[in-house]
Amino acid sequence: MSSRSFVLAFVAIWVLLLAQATAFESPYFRPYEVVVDPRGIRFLPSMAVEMDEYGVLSFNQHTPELRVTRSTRFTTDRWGFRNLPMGRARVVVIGDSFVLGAGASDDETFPYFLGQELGEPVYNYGAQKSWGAPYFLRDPRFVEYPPQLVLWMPSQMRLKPIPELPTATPSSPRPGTEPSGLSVAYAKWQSVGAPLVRARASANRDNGLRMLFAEHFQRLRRAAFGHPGLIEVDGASALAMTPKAQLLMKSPEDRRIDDVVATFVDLRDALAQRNIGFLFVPIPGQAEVYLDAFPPELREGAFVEPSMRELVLERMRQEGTAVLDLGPAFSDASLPYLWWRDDTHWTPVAAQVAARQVSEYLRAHPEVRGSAD
Amino acid sequence: MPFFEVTFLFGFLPVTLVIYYALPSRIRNAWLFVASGVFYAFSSWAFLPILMFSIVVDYVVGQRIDRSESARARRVWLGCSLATNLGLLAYFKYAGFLTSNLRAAGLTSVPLLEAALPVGISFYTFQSMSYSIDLYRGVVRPARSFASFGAFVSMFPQLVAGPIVRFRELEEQLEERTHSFERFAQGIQFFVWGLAKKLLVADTAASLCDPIFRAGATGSAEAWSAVFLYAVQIYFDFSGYSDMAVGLGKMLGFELPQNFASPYKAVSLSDFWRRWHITLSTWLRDNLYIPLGGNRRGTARTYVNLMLTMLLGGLWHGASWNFIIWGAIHGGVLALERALRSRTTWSPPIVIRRAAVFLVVLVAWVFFRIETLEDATQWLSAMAFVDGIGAWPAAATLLAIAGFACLIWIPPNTHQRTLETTPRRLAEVMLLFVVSLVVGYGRGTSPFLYFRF
Repeated sequence: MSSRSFVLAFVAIWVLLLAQATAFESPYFRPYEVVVDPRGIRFLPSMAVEMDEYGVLSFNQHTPELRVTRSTRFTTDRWGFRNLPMGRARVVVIGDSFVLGAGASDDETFPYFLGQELGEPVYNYGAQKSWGAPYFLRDPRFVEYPPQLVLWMPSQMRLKPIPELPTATPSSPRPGTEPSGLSVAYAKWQSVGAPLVRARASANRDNGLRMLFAEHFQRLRRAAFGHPGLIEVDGASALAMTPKAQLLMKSPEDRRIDDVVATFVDLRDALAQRNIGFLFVPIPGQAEVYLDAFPPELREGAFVEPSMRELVLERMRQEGTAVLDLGPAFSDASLPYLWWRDDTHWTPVAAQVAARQVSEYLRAHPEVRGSAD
Repeated sequence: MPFFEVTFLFGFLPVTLVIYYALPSRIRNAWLFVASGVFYAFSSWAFLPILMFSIVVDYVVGQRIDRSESARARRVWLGCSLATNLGLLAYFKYAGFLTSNLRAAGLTSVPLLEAALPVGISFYTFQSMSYSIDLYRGVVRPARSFASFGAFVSMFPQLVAGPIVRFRELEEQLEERTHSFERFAQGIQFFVWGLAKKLLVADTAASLCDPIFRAGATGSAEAWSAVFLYAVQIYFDFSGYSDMAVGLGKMLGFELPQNFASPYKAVSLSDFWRRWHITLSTWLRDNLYIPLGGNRRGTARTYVNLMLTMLLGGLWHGASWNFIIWGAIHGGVLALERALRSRTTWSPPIVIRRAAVFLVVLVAWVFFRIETLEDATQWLSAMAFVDGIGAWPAAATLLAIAGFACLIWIPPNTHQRTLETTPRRLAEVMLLFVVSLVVGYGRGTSPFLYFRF
């Protein structure tokens, strides 16, 4: 065989694969990805995106047969958060993608439902990343116009530092913190290349070749080793992260429960200094609520009675914080499955149940609100 | 942009090659320079100016060294090159380490300098700097054009993780090289073997050892298994990258130097360093060990030179005490080996020697893999049976270890294989290519380990 034939034969295979690689399934499968602002946890301001989306687990695990396609609308306000036009909000919800309403339309998010229940505007401060509190505390708008109540609704008990409240007027940076000319020029230079980097990441992720190979590989793997993330709830299949992936196998001590509680208490105290009320409503984990749906070998040794969330709730209660446990409401057997069957997030039904619980609590405990104005 | 990415394999590479071969020979270097710039921008746009700065400085310095008649002026220009390249390395790679250690030592007024590490800076600064050094020594002639020099420093196959090529090795090829189907076919074989090494072997080893490192070893069985798997991962990861670089070089008509030669088959530690990251060890030998005096200034000084070279070799990999200790272990054992050789002619059987070298290398890898000194010493104590044998890894992991052991000690390395163009070889290469991509894209890929150096 001549070298020329060798090269040409290989190039032929290369071209066949190339043809498959250029088939892009879809650069985005969630509106969140269209409006994401790569510079921070906010979104691109004043955007409205309507599209069909599906769950991240069906995407990551390459199980198109379990996709639940839904049509959603994602609207951001001029500050880069997911809100429809509203008047000044006295109630603000800060949290992660659960509060944000991943997988849900604008009128299916928790803050939207809570606003309906309370009959007043509720601001959605849900962030694209798992921590919105630092942004909230630093946001000039809320420093100037503080709300009366902050609902802190984390879906994970992760430890990250919360910075102090700014002491200076936000518009005038503290002496010595002004960015230098060089760092400004560098930031500009970086922003010029950002689309290039994003385009590369998108092409690597969404091309047809990767999709095809990943799908076949995952099928083979599932055929050989089973699918630990596949559970049966209410007679239908659902994709879920395993209890281990949801950190249920780690003890509260390993998850640094003391530091977690201290951080949350610091947040409460920082708000109290500004006469802002605080209600702590951690969102139960999927594996915590539906642990029985997992095979015994995956749930053995899970820390669920009590869970990390329940322990933190109890400790926060002991610290004198207003707390609300959504666990009992979510365990109601008459409710449908409360998570998307192809995603890690709760459904609008779950958000509605939570909103009803919170509004009932607030009606029963009006003193939780602060006096900030 | 790692070589296994879709954007590289099915976007950047074919476009670059098609344009490269469509252009007349005289402007191919210029195209290679431009394409390499684009390649770097896709990986590390923010630091593209640093790469270009290093290239411009050494090109200008090279011209000045060549034109200077006085030795003093040549020394001054060489100093400019060394100061620029080592300055860049010092700021981006070592300033954070140095200032944090000074502050830890009580000098709290020292500001903490921390900068993101530009991709490939350790490689291209050494490459760029070696040009000025070789010009100063009169070993090479200056690059004929800026495009040729730019193509030499930034050549995308070896830009971000070597092999560290010296100008003298590519000087003639930059001006005149042959392009043939035969060489291209060889390039394909090297590239696909490298791809398979990375995606099939290194990433599999990583998927087995990373969970153990993350969770911690329950005893010596897991501790040894994880370190062995890491040894496999780092070897196949880095040598896979090097093979791909050699293959890409061949596709472009270049012969890049061999970087690995079955290092775990080494029968002494000095033999290991003739087989592991060969281009770095020869760079350090020629530009550090020998200028320090090598073995020409007495026994004691030889040991000092060995230790110093290995310490700096360790530090080259990263700014941390762990890398320094890794270098010290290698330097210390190299010195010990030399001392033993001078005192006795007896030599143990080859199997014992090979096992002893591998043992030293494994112990040293602990400091390479684990980030903190405290964790590394804990890992070593687990390896030393302090916590007992503990749990055994899963049967599949033990099976994989046995397979990897065969792979590192039995077959010839890629440079020892014949580069034939038979139908059987074509089938092998095609199959490896497709299977590597199926497994790599299906399971998910991890970045090359040496990208962070």
